[in-house]
Amino acid sequence: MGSSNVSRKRLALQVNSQNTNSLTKIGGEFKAAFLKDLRSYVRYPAWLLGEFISTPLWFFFFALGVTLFSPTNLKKSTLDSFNFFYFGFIFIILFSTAVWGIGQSIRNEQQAGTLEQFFLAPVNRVTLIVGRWARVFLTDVLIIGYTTVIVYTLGNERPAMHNPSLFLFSLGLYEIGLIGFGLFFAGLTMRIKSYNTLSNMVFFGYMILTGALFPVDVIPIPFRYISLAIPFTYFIDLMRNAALSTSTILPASIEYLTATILAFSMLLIGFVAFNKIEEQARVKGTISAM
Amino acid sequence: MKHYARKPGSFVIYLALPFMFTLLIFGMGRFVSGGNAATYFAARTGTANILVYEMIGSAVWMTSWVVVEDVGVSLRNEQISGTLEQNFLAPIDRATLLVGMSLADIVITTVIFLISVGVAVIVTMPADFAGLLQAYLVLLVGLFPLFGVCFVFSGIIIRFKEPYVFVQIVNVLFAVLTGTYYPVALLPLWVQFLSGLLPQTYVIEDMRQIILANQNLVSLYGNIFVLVALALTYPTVGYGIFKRIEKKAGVTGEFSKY
Amino acid sequence: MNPVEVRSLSKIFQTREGRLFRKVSKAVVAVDDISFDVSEGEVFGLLGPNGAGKTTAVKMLCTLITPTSGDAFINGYSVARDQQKVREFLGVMLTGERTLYWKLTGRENLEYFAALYHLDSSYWKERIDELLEKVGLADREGTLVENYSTGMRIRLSFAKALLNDAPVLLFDEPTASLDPQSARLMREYIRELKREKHAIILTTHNMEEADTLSDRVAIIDHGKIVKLSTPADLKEKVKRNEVIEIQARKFSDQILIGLQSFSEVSKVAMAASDAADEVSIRIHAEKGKEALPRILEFLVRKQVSVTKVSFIEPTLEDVFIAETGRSLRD
Repeated sequence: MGSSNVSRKRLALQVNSQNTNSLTKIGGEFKAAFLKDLRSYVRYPAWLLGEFISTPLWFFFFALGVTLFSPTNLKKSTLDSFNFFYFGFIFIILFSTAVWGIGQSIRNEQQAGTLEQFFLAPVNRVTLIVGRWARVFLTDVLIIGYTTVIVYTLGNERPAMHNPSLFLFSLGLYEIGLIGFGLFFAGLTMRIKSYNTLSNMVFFGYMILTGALFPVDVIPIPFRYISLAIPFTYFIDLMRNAALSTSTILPASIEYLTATILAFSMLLIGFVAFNKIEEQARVKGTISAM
Repeated sequence: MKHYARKPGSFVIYLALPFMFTLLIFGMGRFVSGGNAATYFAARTGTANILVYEMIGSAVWMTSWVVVEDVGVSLRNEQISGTLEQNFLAPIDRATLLVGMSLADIVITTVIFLISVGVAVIVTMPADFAGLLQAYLVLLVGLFPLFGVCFVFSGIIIRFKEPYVFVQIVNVLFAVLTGTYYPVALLPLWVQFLSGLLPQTYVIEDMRQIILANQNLVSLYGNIFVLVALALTYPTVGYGIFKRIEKKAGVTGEFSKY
Repeated sequence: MNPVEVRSLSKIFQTREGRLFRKVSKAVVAVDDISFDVSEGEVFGLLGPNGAGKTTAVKMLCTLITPTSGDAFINGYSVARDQQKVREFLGVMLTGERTLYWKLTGRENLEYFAALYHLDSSYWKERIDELLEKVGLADREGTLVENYSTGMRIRLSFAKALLNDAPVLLFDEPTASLDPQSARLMREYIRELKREKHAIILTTHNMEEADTLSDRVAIIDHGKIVKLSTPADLKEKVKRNEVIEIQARKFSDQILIGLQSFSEVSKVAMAASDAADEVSIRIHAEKGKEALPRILEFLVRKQVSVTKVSFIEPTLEDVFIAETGRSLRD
């Protein structure tokens, strides 16, 4: 830099004011992204209202649809099914976070016109996206809690939870995998225009093939192999095993090991894919293109 | 129509969703009751033809989804890209603008009907083209009151800005209240009253009666009369509400906000 | 070492054009081998018409686009290899008012971006207060940006660009959407930043702005720098010719070609005029005063309706015409 007094003062300001510690940097980026998203969210009352109204309604919609296939008298097996669906429903809400919460974050910034600002800053883009994930996860937890209270109050039952610690561990693996998956999707929004179509296909594929709403055993044989190749099948299976004592697809310890490897692999792949796609977008000059 | 030509993926989704939802519901049912699932279904609905029963509900739900989303999302996209103001500056009747958006949906509706209900009927039942035609007419008539609902929806979008959330609420409300995958009679009485206000409730019921219970437009005259009455009143009332919201939006400057 | 050093920077975009199954790959040269330096305390103007490559060049400098070849160095860091470092030493204001979060207040926007630039929270409060005061938004800091006027949003974008007090500042058409008074204020801010020894790159298609603000101007056309010098020096070279401006009706391209055939005329350019149905023609001619009667006679013979004739002092637009044969407003 130059040798003028103004330059030295500016440099001193920069050195003193910029956080040089990496963890502090990352923490600051994460907090900024989280707060920005939270503020925007609460200032769009429609979002709050919409999610809190529609979430329990979706559950009742599926539950009523299944009623047609149920015996008229309630049995224990019916309650077990109810718990099965309800947990499946929770898994679906969390999955939709990855697809439409994390995945759409780039598209949202594009539409708002702030995407270029996002890429101009000397930050790790992944941290910003994870900051957004944190806000979406927080609102998901609130919505799930609220829906659980309504559903189980109406059914006059307590929610089932056999092993909370294992459930939380499995949930942690699920979320790590989801973040990786979400990063991959966020990258895709910079490449493809028909993002919504792909999201819908993936979302429904998830609902049908991963055992979220019915066990993988119900799926006919050729398609069942597809289910067994999807990492989410194992995360869901483990969470359900911890909550409802259902049996696991693989022996439990092997399934936990498999799920752990899959979760961190997905995170790494998502991270690498996102960065690669961003690099290509810079070469093609398409960062702000919609 | 140009939108669907340039983004065929949306179109594919609208065709695939009826099948996916039906598959989901049936899979869940099979899990609960195993081999007895079909028996319980027949006892509750009066028909053993699960596929056609569910596909009718799916198709009608999907057409309302298309109409609601098209109106809501296209307006929102215009708002974001800044062209909403340009559209509202033009010396045209807003109804023309809204109806123009909606008319393309008649074509989409027809295709959805043919692909989902048409195929399900041809595959599982003796061919009844007269029944299919009558069911299709009921579906078309049901679009007009739906446009009226969407006019109100457009106004809400202009005011609140976030169509995706409102589209979701409206879609799930339609799904729950109109008997998409179950008879409306399963719902509590006060909820059935709300169902009676929605045109799609009559559409779904009538289409099922025509295709699965050998009824026709004449024998269902009561429901048809209600549907026609809704088709005449809802668009007018809906447009009136839209104009009021539009006037308010002009005062608060909502057209250029996003 | 200068704060900005650009060396043979080029950008070629590959596009696919044609009908659905018969698309052909086409290379579009957006920026073609440009080189320049910007020193501390200098305002460097990039002047050119729309589509000349100014914004692409700026986006390469701020790492939004990766160069095809060549490189640029911001405070010694390469835009191709050291992108994160480059961003730390840049303050950027891009075109448009939609570069802010509308559901955040003015202050919240600045706080967010301050965090992205890793400014210490104990420092940024003071810095944000200073900037809001500077751009005249201190009393509206708590208002959501969606309720700001266009001018206020642009001023907030400007404040955002100054948050990290970067040694290099990039302003892409900073006064484009502003009314005259706000534009004048913006130029005053830029002059102040120059006095504070920032290296400033300014893109504009407003020749007056480039003329009055810039220490040096690079005229860019079709991705290439066609001329680079101080505004005075650029205009001096054109002064050897006299510049005649004619406002006329019923003018055509054929008549333009006819004017170019006059031996005294070196360049002719036509642009739309402010008045309806009129065009503005600028003729660069050696000994223009002697050539004028014959030029007017020619126009009358061609049934052109001349409404105004004047000799004018050359501006940067005339420099552009002299170099490219076209008007900046084309």
